[in-house]
Amino acid sequence: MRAIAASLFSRTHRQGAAPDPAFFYWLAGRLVRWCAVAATALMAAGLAAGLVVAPPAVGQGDAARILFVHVPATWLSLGLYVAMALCAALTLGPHAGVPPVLMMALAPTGAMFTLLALWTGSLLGQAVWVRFWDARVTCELILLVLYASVLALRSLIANRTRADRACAVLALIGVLNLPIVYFSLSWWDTLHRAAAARLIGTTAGRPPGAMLLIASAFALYACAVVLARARCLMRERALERKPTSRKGAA
Amino acid sequence: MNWDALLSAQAVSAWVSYDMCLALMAVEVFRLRGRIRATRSAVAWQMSSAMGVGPCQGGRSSRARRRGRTINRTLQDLP
Repeated sequence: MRAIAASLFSRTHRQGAAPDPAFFYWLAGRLVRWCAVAATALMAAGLAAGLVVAPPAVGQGDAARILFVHVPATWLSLGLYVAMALCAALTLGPHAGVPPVLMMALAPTGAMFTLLALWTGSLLGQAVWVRFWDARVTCELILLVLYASVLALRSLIANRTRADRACAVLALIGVLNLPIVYFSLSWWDTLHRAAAARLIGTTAGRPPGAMLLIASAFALYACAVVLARARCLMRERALERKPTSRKGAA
Repeated sequence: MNWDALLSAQAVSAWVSYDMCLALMAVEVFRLRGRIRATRSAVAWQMSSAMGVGPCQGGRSSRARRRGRTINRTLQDLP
């Protein structure tokens, strides 16, 4: 952990004294494989538990199975944005090294989980209370727009450093949306809260095992994909610093 | 197996949700695989051109091995 923290906070790699990004690159390469294998196994178990093993909820039938995907997807969409905001704060600081790469690597996966949360939330709402939209879905849609804005802003600005800083500022502004998403069930008394409480209540008042399995699988999948994408971004940035010369190969 | 229960509207919604989940993850992984291959080959090409040899010299398997070694060497030059 100390080495990981050092790789995040140190700027000595610019002076060539300690190749911390190279250590991060090496560590990410090792972690990607293990996370991918564990995520595959947990996902298979979670799918089997959610679709086959778990009994239909009393009064809600098979629609409650959507909850096993919807809730972990929402957790991941919020959690990845928090991680992206932390990386954004470090990017704006004087010790930026790996954080901007991680920030850019987190955005597509966060957008994917937000889209999944929106999709499954609408399906669940339509099946449970015959309305596919409510306040929390609107907040999630704003979160998806924030992820998309970060990705779009990055592609619009050619200068890499400026793009990183602009995306970091935008990501930090978007943090204001997180408490709104979290407390939307309390602030607006929609059908979402009653239906969610009823569905969770039908699973004997404890978090269903299938939900925990799928949440673990999602988290490990996100780790694997984000680390692999971070490695790609590091390679691309290294190539940008050393543009390829075709004369040497002739 | 109760096929009527499996094909009810609520069950189909659940199946569609799980399929959407798997499809999104698969799309992301396959796009990432393409990006990984592209950046790896670009790094290998850059290193081989810097060494003055063509990236396709030596046949497919030895090229792949050289790419692996080249990439490992390149990583030590990362920022």
